[in-house]
Amino acid sequence: MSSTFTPNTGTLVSPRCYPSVINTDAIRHLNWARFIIDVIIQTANAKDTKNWFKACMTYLMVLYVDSLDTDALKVPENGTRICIWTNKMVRCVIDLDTNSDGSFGKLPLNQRYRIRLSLFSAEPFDIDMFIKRHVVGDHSDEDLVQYRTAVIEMCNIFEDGLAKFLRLSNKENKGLIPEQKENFMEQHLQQDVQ
Amino acid sequence: MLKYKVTITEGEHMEPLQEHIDHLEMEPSAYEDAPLADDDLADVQGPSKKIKNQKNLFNRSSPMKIVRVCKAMTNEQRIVIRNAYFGGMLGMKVSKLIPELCRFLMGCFNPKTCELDFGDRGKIPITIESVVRVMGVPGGGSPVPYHLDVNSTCLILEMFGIHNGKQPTVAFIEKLLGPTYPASPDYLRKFIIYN
Repeated sequence: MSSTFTPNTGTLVSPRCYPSVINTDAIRHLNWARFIIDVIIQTANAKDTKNWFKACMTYLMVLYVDSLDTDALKVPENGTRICIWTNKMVRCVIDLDTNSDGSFGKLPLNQRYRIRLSLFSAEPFDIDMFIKRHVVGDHSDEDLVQYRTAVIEMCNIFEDGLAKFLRLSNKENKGLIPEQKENFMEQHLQQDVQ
Repeated sequence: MLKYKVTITEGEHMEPLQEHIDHLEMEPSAYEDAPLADDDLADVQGPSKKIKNQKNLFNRSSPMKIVRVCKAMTNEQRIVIRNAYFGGMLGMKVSKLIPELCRFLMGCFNPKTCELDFGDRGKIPITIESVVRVMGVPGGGSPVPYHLDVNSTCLILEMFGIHNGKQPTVAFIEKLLGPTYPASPDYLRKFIIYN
């Protein structure tokens, strides 16, 4: 608790962490994850941004690099994230995420965290109007539901394909060129073996 | 590579006055006589010249300390930690923080919605599941008690063999986590207080 969860600014241990370790059998049943979040909230509410190091920054940093969308590294999907990410991997991804002015945010977030920007209307009424206008002949409500699902699905596929095309056509967002990528992975693996 | 041998210096914690001076000067001299990892003083990545004075504070919040303790542990000691469901921390590889990135992330954190808000880029929610997935710590049902308690303080100071009422230094506890110490419930206590 003194060095990672809620790092001390002084060299002495805070006695406030003692009650949590009295019953050693209960330690595994405590909500340490909640504790880490509470400290982050408390630090953010303190409004003193200079004191960010009082919260568990290891968590925020690894969470961030793990949430970026890049094909520069092959990051295993399973496993505790702090055991997967090495200093070198973090540095590599953060360099790719750094803009020319030194600010962060060059890489897109993983799709699940992105705000969905759609070229098409998401309003069911609009979609139904579109279908009704183009379907020839009679159609039941069930037909309409089927068409609606298919149309939404096709819009998504089209948008994903378009996004992929844009990503590939933008050289800057390609990350490392294949040769560099291979070298990086090789170096990284050798380091692990050592 | 981290090669860390523990040397035990008795009574290190009995220098409260010196420690307060250290705190004011932001000099972690408590680590002076502990053999440091080769890049210990650089466990903050990237340029940080502007914030040179805060470098030692960055170092104090650096995961480097926990990584070097875990690397030196014996198998028996590891089992004690794993049994408390803290096994994920034993394999922690990230040991360096990037100060600029940390500042950026704290700036994006919205405490009301509890998420990292990157505007048009999107939002990353901060949840218990996410902390468990990233840090490998337990997300059990009971809240972690974090407050002053006279009885607890007496018991823990007794465990450390401290009789003058002064709190131990983090560096002192690090030494007590060395591979020569028995894998007992006290070892787990020290580890949790330390990490």
